[in-house]
Amino acid sequence: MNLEQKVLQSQRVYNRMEIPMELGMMVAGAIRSVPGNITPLPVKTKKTRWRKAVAAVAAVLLCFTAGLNASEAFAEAVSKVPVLGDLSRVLTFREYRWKDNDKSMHIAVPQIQTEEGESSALVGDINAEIERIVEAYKEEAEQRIAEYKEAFIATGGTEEEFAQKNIKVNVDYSVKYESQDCLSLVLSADEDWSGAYGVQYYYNLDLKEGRKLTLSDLLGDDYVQTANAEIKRQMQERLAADPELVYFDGSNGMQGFTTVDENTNFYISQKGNPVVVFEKYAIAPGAFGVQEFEIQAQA
Amino acid sequence: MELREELVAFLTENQEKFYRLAFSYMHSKDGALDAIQNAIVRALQHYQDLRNEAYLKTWFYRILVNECCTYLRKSGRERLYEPEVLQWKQDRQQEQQDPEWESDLEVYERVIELPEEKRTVVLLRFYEGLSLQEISKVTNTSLSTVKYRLYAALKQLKRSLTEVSQ
Repeated sequence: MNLEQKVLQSQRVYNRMEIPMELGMMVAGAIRSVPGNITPLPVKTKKTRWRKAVAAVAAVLLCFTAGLNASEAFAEAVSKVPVLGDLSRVLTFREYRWKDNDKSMHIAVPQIQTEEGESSALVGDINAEIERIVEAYKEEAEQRIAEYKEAFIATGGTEEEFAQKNIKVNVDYSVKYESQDCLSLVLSADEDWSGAYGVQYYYNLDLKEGRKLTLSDLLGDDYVQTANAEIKRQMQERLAADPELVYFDGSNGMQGFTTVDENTNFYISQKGNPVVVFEKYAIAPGAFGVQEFEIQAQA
Repeated sequence: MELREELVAFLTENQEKFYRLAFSYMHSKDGALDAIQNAIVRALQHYQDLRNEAYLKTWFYRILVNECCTYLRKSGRERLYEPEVLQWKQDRQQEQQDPEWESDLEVYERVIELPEEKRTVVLLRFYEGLSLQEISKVTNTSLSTVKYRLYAALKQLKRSLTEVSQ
């Protein structure tokens, strides 16, 4: 191997360089610090997005939706008053908080209750799955933080400095929509020191029938076309309103939004509409956070 | 697309490249982040000077490289930023046994110790994949100067790598 080839091969060291977590935030902040002379962003939008970016640092979302069989049946169900915040059938099964020298943890494990006459098989499976996911997340988070600490100390940091980071792990949930037969729940978990460990699970369930809801239940057989058209329209709208926003478009090797399919993540809004969710980095640079698109459900 | 939007998109999408490049000058995370921040602010303040958007890339690289080199020249002996160990070295070794990793790392370390003019040519040519023509735009020098610096850089690298292996 001649010298030029050697130098060329050492490019892989360069490319494997560890990129610090704060880079994305810093770049977004630096860009925002110089106002553009074309359509300056309203202050409110700026704040919202900044907060969103911070919140997105490691958001894990789990979403459960209980719903119906056919879209007519769903339309009927959503016309009922949601019982949100009232007598929810989602209960906090376990909740714990603790703190040691390296971190503080808060973990809430939700479980869904079934009522008489409802099939409990699917709900049972999902409750068990939630427990498994939360448990695994907790263990992995502890391990990651221990490894981070080890590296931190090995590179000259002290125990005190590490403790000052005040790392927090949080697993929690919120009910997005709930009616007689239909439930939408988001479980979120995050580690505030790193954006790299987000995991997302979305479940859409029909409690009465004991099955998962799909986008086609909410949007009809043409859900792919309907959702794609609406998402593209909203992307254009957001791009027009915000000169700083960027969506990947296939240049620079970053494939952006192409299409929804049966595996696309979504939850249900209080209006009963599906909200399609794209995680950080899925269709836009990480600095722009999670991208959500609410789509009018089929009447 | 408006030029500013294009610039913002370019800055956002290529930030990791900027970091790798800046780190190779500054040898520290904080130094690299500061250099990128200054370069971005400068670019956004002066993008109207950019006549042809086809030159966006070389134009911004010039700002970033200048930012880094200005710092290195000013700082001289006293460093504001503590140089950091190349931590990804250990990370990678744990991942898998890779007999050539050590020697690649050696080459990279020698590259980032080159004097700034030579270093710039090597970084941009071999790591960022710029053409010699583009490098002459970034460094605001003639093509033959770039060629000469590349030649001189490789010569110096060869010498420093041979010293190590002996």
